[in-house]
Amino acid sequence: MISMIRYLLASYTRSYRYFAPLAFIIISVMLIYSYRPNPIMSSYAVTSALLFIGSAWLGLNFFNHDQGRQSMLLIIHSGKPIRYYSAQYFTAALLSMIFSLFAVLFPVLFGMFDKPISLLEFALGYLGHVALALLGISLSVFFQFGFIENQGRAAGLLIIIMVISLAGQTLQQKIPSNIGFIIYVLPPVSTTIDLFMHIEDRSAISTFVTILYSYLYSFILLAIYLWTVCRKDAAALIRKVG
Amino acid sequence: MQELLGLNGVHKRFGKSVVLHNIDWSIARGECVAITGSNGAGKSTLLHMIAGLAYPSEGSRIEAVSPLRVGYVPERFPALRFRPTEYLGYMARIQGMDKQEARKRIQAMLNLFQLQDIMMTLCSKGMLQKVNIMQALLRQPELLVLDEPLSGLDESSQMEMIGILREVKRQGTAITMSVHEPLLITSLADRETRLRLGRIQRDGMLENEPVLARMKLEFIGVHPDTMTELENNRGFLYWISRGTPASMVVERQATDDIVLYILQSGGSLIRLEPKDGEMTSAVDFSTGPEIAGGET
Repeated sequence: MISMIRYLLASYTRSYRYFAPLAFIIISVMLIYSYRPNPIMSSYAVTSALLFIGSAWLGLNFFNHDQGRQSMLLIIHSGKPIRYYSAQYFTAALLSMIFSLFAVLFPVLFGMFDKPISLLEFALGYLGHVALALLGISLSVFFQFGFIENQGRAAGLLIIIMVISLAGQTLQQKIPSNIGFIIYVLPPVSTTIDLFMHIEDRSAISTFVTILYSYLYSFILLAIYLWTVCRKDAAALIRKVG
Repeated sequence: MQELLGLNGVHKRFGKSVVLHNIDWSIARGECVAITGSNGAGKSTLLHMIAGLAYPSEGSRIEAVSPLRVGYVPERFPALRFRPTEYLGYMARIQGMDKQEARKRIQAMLNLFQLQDIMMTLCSKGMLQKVNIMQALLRQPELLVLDEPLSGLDESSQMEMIGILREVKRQGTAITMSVHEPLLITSLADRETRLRLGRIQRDGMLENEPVLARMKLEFIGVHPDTMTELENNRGFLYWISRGTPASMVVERQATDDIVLYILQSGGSLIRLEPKDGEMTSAVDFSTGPEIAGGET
């Protein structure tokens, strides 16, 4: 698994395809903190939302980066499809964790907050960023060309789902109560952002459950992805056009 | 010979279209099987099935030894931003080889393949194809699966590649490959499995099959529907071109029937000649002046 992750990282970084999502994340974070002082958790709410978008972009970009040309060989070399697909997911997750660290550390290192950050706030901030970054990655796996060959359509669908997820809390108030359950099917992005926005009103248990639910949701998406993709022919994952 | 892998009653469907029909096929240790057929016959799908990269819709794939070490050589190998040694090193580590063992194996293969260690983006097609075969041979597979290994290579690279594959075969590796190049069949294969529209049309040892001698026909003035009818002749092998002039390769013994059909359909024969290199030792075209090189 580690050898596969190392190869995938080398292959992706040498493709230079990471540049656009990376630039988006860095520039967004720097823009948010272009003035000071900033409230800690509210700022983290905004950067975690941006990281969710950036990670989904990064994920789609990463899963498509070699257009599946090496996937058949990597599956054969690794012995089992699940080893390859898991390694692929964990590589993208690793990258998103690094970006999360950047988003959380940047304002701390450059003194952009209105007061000194506590260890608990830092830990919650990091866990929340990783939770939303993983949600972005976990969503993007279903939009790679192995699933949707037309990548224009895939990007459009992904954007729609991201927008709905970000607006989940607002939607809940607008939609009829008998279909209100839909909100719980959507990725729990808005609930995590809301947690950061109103953290002082939340109990420790509520905070814990909200963040845990995000991780659980990503884990379920990952399980569905692995279950689905391991039943597909590896040969079908190669891009037929382009 | 000991059977290494078998397909029993395999069907493969993509949506509603059936790509492989009831395939019973096997390969023995040390055997080399050429899989032939025209484009769209199902060769690549069959190879994916053999390599374990596609699942049968019906039927079963049975490995005699588990896990069977399979090396797979895809038709196209991308010019990655790695040097061959770097790339092969990664592949070896992914396969679980330790660093020392991987280094030795890669060095031995570099010597055998006489390959320069330059960035793959700077490599020629022939050099990339060497890397492609090397990655498949890293762990000394029991079965090597090659998808059109000579595709796009110039003549000298083809000869070099055939030499390498002969050496691999000599070491006891079973080989199966989809091929269009008769040169590869005659110089390497023990057996030919011919596919037609997803079915096995013929599966037999090559030395028992003098019918492998082939003729190339060039003709004009034949309606496209008639061309499709020509494909139904048992001796039809594949199209080189369906344009004007149309050009096809047929079995030698069916040539008379096919030529007659073309003429009766209002077509004109331009050229009729033995397909270069497609002769087995059982047939000598030089003794057939009534057909070879004939022009109308």
